[in-house]
Amino acid sequence: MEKLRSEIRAAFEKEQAAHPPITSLRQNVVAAVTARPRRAPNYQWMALAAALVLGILVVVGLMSTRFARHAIAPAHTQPTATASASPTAAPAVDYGPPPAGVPLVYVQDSKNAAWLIGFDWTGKARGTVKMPAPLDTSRIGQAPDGSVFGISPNGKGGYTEFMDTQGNRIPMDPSLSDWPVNASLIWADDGQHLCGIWFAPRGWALITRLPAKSPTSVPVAIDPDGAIVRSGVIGVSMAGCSIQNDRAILTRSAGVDDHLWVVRISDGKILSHRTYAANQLSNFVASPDGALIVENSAKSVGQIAPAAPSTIIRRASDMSVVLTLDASIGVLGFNSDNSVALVYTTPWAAQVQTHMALIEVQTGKVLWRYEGSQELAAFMAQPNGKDFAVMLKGTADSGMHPSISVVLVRSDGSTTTVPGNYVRL
Amino acid sequence: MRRTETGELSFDALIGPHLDAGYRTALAILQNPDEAHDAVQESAFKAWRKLHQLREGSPARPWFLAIVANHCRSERRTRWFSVIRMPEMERVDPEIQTENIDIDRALATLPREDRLALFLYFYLDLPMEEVGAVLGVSPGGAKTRVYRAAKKLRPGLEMD
Repeated sequence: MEKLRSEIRAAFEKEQAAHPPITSLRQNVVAAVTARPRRAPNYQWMALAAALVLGILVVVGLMSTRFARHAIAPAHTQPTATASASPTAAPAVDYGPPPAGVPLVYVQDSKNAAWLIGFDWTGKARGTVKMPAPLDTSRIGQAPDGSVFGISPNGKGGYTEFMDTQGNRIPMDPSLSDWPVNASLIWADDGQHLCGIWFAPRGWALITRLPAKSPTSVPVAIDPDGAIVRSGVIGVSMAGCSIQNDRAILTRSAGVDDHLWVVRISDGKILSHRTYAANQLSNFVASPDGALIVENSAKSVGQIAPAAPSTIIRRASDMSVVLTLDASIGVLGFNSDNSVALVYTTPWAAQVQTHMALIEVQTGKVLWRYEGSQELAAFMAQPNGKDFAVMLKGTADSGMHPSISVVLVRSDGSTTTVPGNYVRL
Repeated sequence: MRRTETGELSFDALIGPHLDAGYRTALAILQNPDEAHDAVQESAFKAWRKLHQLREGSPARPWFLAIVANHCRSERRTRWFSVIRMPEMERVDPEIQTENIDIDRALATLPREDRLALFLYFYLDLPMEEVGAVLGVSPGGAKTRVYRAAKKLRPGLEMD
């Protein structure tokens, strides 16, 4: 029985690990729920009360026409009460408008939920974006260079509106109403475009678009016989999108055989397609330029059941092996020239410390190692640079807005810790 | 904290710790993270409205997970896309259910309620009393259901 328990637990664990809850689930749900009325109003009583009041008014009105003189009085306009927000947050530091053209890493000011602080890649605060209202950080994402912010209606990855660094809403192209703006999108390597894969009525389509602009769509034949759609378990997503190299990396992980496609963005042509046995890998990772792909072994996320014996970095062009890593290691991402990769060396799971390392892709040499007691909350690769921003949180901090610290990890292994604690986007 | 005074803070204290388990239960049933997130939010709203039905001293976890499970069952019955996303998978021939069978595939073939029973007992580690409360059966009934579901995975299994 114990053996079966372990096997069942492992099977469920794998399923659950593939789709962990969003980090701010508790905060979002509690806030959304408690904002609603506790009970639906009783309209029957309301209707009855309204009818009663109306009846009384009619009777009084009729009586007044008989027993009272009409009073003629000037109408007085009552001043309209205007709701004004009462600031409760402690004063936050205003770093002024962010400089144009400087890539910034944004975090939410822990003292003012409507403000985002932008740090440059030396760790210096360079600007404050003042949004019109406090933000739910699970619903906002920055472009890699921080020039634009996407707002998701439900925190699920699709952006339905965009804000600039002045906190102004970017007008949406009217033709966008014809497109799946809610489709899950990722930022392309140019930091300008968004890319996504969508099942259009006539088949799969690769979408690229600029924020708030109408998308370009090309058909992509990843499912020529309709088997994926018929299977009912779609699981197709985009792991990487390089406008500069005209290449997208599509993957499918759906509990059956895993798939990886390298696709030309301009015409949707499939350049290569590779299949993998089910349940061997945890996920695929692609470099920003689409040149490298990673097959992360399922063992890297703690799967007990048999998994791929190694985590492998390959060239997307010919699928040749660049580096083979122990199966317990998982690759998080690459810097922009693919010289180094950020990896986790213990399973990246909620409320467990995450050990990490920065390794040279060509040699596997470890340049930096983190073996502290904190948990990885998020990371970013420097656009057109070589460094990473690593955001750490306490493992015991399961609050709605966990406090994070930001560490800049350079490709030579040196680090800079940004002073202060913030809330991640 | 009295439940009659439940506001955001007390709701968070009472139900908040179980939202993660609620999401995981919804994911186990719906097998779609987006739908699971929606389900846990809708279930939390139902819990918010029905909070007065939770008796003083009763554990909140099985009560909330039962709401989640019921909501997911309802969703699967009514939403058209569940038909597209989650078709019934092929049944595995009992003849090949041996010790060496791939547990993932075997779990995928189990009826939904059997799978839920295993999930609650083996993954969430709920005691039988709470498994029963979520499934709407007695603790004895829950034990039988878990045992029968486990036996479908391992025909020769003897319950501890």
